[in-house]
Amino acid sequence: MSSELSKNLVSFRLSSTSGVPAYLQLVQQVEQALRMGALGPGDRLPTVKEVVAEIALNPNTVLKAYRELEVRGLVEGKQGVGTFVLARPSGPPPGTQERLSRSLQAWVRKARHEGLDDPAIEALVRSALTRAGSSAEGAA
Amino acid sequence: MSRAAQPETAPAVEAVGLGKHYGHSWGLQDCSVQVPKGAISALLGPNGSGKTTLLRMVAGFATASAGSVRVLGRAPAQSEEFLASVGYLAQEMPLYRRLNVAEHLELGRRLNRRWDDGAARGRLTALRVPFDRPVATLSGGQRAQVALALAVAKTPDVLLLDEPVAALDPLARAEFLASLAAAAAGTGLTVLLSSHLLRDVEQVCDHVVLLASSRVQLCATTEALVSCHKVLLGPRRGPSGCERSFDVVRATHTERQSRLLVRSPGPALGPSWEVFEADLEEIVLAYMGQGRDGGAIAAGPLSLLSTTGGAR
Amino acid sequence: MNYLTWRLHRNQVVFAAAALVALAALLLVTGTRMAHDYSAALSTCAATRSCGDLSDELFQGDGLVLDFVTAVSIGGPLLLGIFWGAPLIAKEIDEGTHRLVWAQSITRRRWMAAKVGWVLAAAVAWGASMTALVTWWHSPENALYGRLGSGHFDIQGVVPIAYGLFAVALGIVIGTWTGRVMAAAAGVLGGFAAVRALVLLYVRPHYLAPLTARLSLGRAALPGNPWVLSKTLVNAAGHPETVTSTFGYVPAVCHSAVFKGPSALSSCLQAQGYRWLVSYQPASRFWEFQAIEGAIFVILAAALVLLALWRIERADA
Repeated sequence: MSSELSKNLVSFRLSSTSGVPAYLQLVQQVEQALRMGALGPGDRLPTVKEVVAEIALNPNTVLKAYRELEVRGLVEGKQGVGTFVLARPSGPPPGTQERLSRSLQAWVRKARHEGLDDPAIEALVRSALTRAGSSAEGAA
Repeated sequence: MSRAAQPETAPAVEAVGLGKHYGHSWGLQDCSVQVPKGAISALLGPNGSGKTTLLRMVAGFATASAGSVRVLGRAPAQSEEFLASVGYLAQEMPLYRRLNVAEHLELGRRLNRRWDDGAARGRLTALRVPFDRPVATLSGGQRAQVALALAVAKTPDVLLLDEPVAALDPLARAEFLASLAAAAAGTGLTVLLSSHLLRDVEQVCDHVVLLASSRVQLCATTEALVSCHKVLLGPRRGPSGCERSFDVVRATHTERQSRLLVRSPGPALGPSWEVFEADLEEIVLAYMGQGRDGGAIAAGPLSLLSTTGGAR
Repeated sequence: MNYLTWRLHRNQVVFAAAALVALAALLLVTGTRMAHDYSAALSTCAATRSCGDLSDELFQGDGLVLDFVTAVSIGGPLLLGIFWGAPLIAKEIDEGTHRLVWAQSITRRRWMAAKVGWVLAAAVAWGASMTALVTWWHSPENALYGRLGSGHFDIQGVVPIAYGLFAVALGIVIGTWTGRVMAAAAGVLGGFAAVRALVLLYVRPHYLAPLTARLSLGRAALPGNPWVLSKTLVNAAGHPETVTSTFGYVPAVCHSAVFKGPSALSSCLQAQGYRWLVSYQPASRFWEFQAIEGAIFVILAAALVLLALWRIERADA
């Protein structure tokens, strides 16, 4: 099965325990691929059939995710051809992610050094996100 | 392209007061249900709730003792037209043990006027199912894939599957549901699959029919279900309080707190109540319990079919 | 459906064909020799005018082959019922594969028509080949003993084909009802034997009104090897004598003859007007009897097939 799907540029996976609706997980994964450069403008997203044949998902969920991506202006559905990437998501330029990731890794190392275990770190991050308010929400 | 059920289109499967008795006991009683066209619906219910009986009657494999059922407007009959429009996969996934996969595809091709050989071969090839070995030597997951490929290659309008994943290991289950979802994608195929565990089929279904005590307790899209149910957490009170202002599906009480699963709560809630999103599984379990208790709780069976257009 | 029927049952067909070939070889070899012996014996006895005793002399060494062929001919239809009829539907129900076929776009009636049609056609073909061989093979025996008696009538002509159809249909209908191959096979074994015995003992003698003849008490016999149904001693007035004790019916004049031996007694009784009253079916009625009995079993088979079809069309699966 993996070889059959390797021709696709992105490969989705779903977590049933995250609490995030399945369509939103797909949206986030496409955005992530765009940010990391795995997908670029002009690339074709896998068809609904290809997606559900890989991860056992209701076809409507995939359609909903693709529609959401269209609404966000990231992709464009062309009748009978497929869904194509239009643009990278707005936000900081490429490289920002990586830079922030490096400093976060340093912070995690520090937290572990201070004696926090991973669940404690996760709780800390989550509460920080909550306390920072809802301004970050939606700004993907 | 949209597979969403539209309120104005006729349902793919419609049962009215459908019942079946075996000897003196009812296998299914007074079952009225509508399965929307083009959706993948989960038929849920505990063991013995009549899921198999319902599917068999819809498929024309068993005759109804009471009521009626229509599939795409047609009553089940021994006619080529009806048989061609309905696919049915029995729970034990019957196959000829000594025949190989190629021979099964051949018999399917010869016994059906509509037959999509390419799709069946493509999917089974992709899954590396050997075509030249007797199916008795294949794994349970491979046999299930063969049985599904046969049912799908027939290109029915309505596909009925009886507990298709109950006997499969998690990997085979995921692969089976992936094949099913791929078969339904973009084809307008209506799927009704039964399961006693929502968890098994939750991802691929966009509609839920819940049978309990051989009656329909719930019939709605998963989205509508989640959006119109909430969990309320608040101080323990007497039965007066807010329980009256909306339908309580299930109430659990501790010494100080009440946890209520409610339907469509209005905005007028006291500040002492916290509102949470309800999990689909929690909703289904609540209605399943309701059926077992003989409907002791205020909320009656729920049908949200007419709201599906709005939910999309 | 023809493809599926052939694919599912080709092993049974091959096995039955192999058995038929083996039997044909045996029958051809022994049959040719027996026919040769018989014609040789006929020309010999014609010279010595002793042809009446041929039946005591010919084929004495062939008892084993004769018994074997008779057993196979009588048992053949039974085997068809057990190995072809019983599993035809029962195996599908037993293994649940009827649910696979019934989920295809083929009506149950067409499914039954194809399966039952082919197995009955195969049974006819097998039975016809077998009975043609045995009828030819048995011709010297027929000349010696006639062919209306049981054991002769039942293995030649057309009735073996009808028996085969009946046995297969019986297996089909029991298999349809029980859904169990073993139950259907056991049902064929019991049911087929019972019906055959009932017909042989209580029905066949009455197909046509039997003829009667009065024979003298000596060794006189009816010509042409008829099927003798009964043989009763009647007195001069034509009333049957019931033999209650040794002397019960013997008239006083013949009492002394009792002690002189059986032949003295019978000539005394003969002189007093006693005769054998024989009730019999003449050998010339062979084909009429074949037609009647064949029709009975074919009609039974047809009724059973319709019953199975009725059941299949209404069964919940």
